[in-house]
Amino acid sequence: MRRAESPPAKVAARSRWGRWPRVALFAGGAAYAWFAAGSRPFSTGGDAATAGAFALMAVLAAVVRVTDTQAVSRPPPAKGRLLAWVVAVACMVGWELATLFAGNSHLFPTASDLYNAAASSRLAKSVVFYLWLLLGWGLFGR
Amino acid sequence: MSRDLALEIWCAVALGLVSCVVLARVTGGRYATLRRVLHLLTATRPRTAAAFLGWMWVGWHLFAR
Repeated sequence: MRRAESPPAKVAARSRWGRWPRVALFAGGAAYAWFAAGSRPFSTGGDAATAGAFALMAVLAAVVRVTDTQAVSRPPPAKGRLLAWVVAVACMVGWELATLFAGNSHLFPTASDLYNAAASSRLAKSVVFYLWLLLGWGLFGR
Repeated sequence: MSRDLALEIWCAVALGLVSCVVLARVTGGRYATLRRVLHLLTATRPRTAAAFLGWMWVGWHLFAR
């Protein structure tokens, strides 16, 4: 007779936050990204919106650590080969450095140049801001 | 080398990162998932601190300065 298997990490991670708090959190993040995308770089508003995201992420990460009583018993994500990630990130960093040192931002745009072109649209800027918040949540909030 | 080629290389780089996510899913754990990579980046306190500084720098660079 087979023993009952322990729930996978994904299920455990989902059970930490209820459905509606998660929906509210992600919707709040989207609203904040839209609000922040309305500010301009090199302005007090831009500084405040970005610093506000730092503070919110730090508070959320602290709350998760304090309230997460299952953290010790939760299994880490399954191991797998990292080679593909290492190659992909090395290519990204390599190409970014190559474009940076090429010195011609029109012929060889860096990631920042591409972002600056996209950021003239508030929607595009808010999407990038939201992705940045999601990355922060993935790193510090889970 | 033209601007178009430079942009195509950026597209290939982005596609490579997306491919890593897809590869992890379709191979059933043979390759590391994004969740695993993020977990490794914050596995210890020094790594978490470094990751937080890096994340803050990206945000400051893109949205504030």
